[in-house]
Amino acid sequence: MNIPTLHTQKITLRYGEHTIIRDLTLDISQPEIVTIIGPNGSGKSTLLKALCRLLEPASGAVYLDSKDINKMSTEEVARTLAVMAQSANAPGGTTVEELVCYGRMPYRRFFDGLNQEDRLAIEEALEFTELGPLRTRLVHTLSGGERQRAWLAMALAQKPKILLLDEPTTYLDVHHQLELMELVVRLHNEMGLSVIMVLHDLNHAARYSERLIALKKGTIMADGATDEVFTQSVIEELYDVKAVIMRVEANGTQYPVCFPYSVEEHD
Amino acid sequence: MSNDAKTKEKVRIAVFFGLCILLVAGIFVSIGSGTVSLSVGETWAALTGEADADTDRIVNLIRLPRTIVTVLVGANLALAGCNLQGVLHNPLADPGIIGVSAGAGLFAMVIMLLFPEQSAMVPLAAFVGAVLSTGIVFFLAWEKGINPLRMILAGVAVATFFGGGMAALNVFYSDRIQGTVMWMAGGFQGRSWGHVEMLLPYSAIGIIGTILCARSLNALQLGDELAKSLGVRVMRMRTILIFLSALLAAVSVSVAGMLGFVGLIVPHIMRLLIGSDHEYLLPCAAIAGGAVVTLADTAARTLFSPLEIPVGIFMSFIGGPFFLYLLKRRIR
Repeated sequence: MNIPTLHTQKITLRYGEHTIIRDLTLDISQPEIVTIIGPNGSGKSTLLKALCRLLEPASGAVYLDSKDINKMSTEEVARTLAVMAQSANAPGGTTVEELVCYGRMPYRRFFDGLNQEDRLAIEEALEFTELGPLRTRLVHTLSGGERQRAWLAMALAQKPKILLLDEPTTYLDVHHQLELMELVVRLHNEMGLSVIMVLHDLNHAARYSERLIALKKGTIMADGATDEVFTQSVIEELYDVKAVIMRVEANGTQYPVCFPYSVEEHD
Repeated sequence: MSNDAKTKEKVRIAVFFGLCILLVAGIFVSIGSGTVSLSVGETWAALTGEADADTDRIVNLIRLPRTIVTVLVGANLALAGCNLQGVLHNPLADPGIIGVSAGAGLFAMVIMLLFPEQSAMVPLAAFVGAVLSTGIVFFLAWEKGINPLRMILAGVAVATFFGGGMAALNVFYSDRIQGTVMWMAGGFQGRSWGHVEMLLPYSAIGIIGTILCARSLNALQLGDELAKSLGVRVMRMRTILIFLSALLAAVSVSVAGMLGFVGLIVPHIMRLLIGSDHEYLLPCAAIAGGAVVTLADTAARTLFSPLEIPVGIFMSFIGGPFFLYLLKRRIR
């Protein structure tokens, strides 16, 4: 399997006149779990949008496998790169299985039915997200955690090599947050997917990511292995807080934990 | 609980075949009813060219073209409405909202009031008006493709503008207004093969095109960003779908006048019955639209014969309450 690469060449991202990100260069060239962290308004979600061609850079370019993502056909991109929806609404009356079928859109033409390959991809996605028993349920009758898994299954049915998630755990309780994160890690380990996500929960970010990108005011403040970025100095500067980084041991494993304890005055 | 999908599949199949039967029945009833009543057998004989000369004339010259026009207009309007509600993410969308009806109405009125001797030109003028007003709305709503919100606002504004024109004509030519009233209410009196010929090509393009786009329309329901993530060219698709709706609506309004109700309510009734998967919804809405208009037209011209009630009024009286009943039942 060829390794998908995604990189940005000095991109500037704007909404109208408002510049969010300036001259940002970023390289993701191996299957890894990358998490973008940073304060509100730092441009995390905007950057993610540019990475999946939902926002075209005002200057610079995003390259998927060395091709300009905004010049590729959108179906071609959709076969390599999938986005997990954040709190999207399924049309009323859609079943889980039908929703997952949508993931096959980039592979189907007009009136083609589902072929063997489509069915296989759908089954695999349902199985991976453990939605098999719920396949005939209507999406709007699912619980929050199940619904997130259904949207994830739809993205997986695209058979992507890169998966983007924007704050996937936002509306979930602790249990379902962990469940979803474990699922994402399994995706990376078992299917070799690159995962790029935005997370607000720093402890999740530190625990599940191999690489952290710290974004502040539209530029990269730190980018590197989790151990290098998840440090007291970086977190304190990134969020303008006072914080301690600890190691908590549970069940024989050490987990990095960040405890911010006070707001730091701006200079 | 896991029977959701099976029940849904059964309902869809039942509704689809039920509608097909309703449409075929509607066509036969429509051709058979009138001053001279014909049995199904006689109607069939006339359609296959084996009836006597009188029956043949009644069926093939008068009733058949009118029935074809009702089926096509019903299917077109329901399809256009269904499509627009989906593309514009607006449950209140109907062919009127993109300015089609107002443009057609004004141009038709100009002919009927100012050049009454040219009344054969009414459908053509209405079509030109519909295309013109839709063109203005498209122009105003364009922003690297159609922007749905601007489309609706521009549609309402243009409709108001053209509506003002109609109101002005009403006032200045109040002595001649009688002749336009029937057209405004919508109806099929005296529709002939010429109207069929005008409808057919646009209906074919619109119906086939729209149904081919059903899957993309489904993806658009998930929102623009998700649709794009799934590989749909959102702007292009949306523009194509609205264009097809405009075509269907323009040609229908030109031939049948201001038929309300079908484009708005029939799609909603179908949505309540079979859900919002457009691969099923669009064909069902088209068949239902055809059946409803054909049956309504038959009832409107026979119930109080020789008096003919405008079919639009008839449909509003029957269809409005029926829709409210469905809505109420679904909410409970």
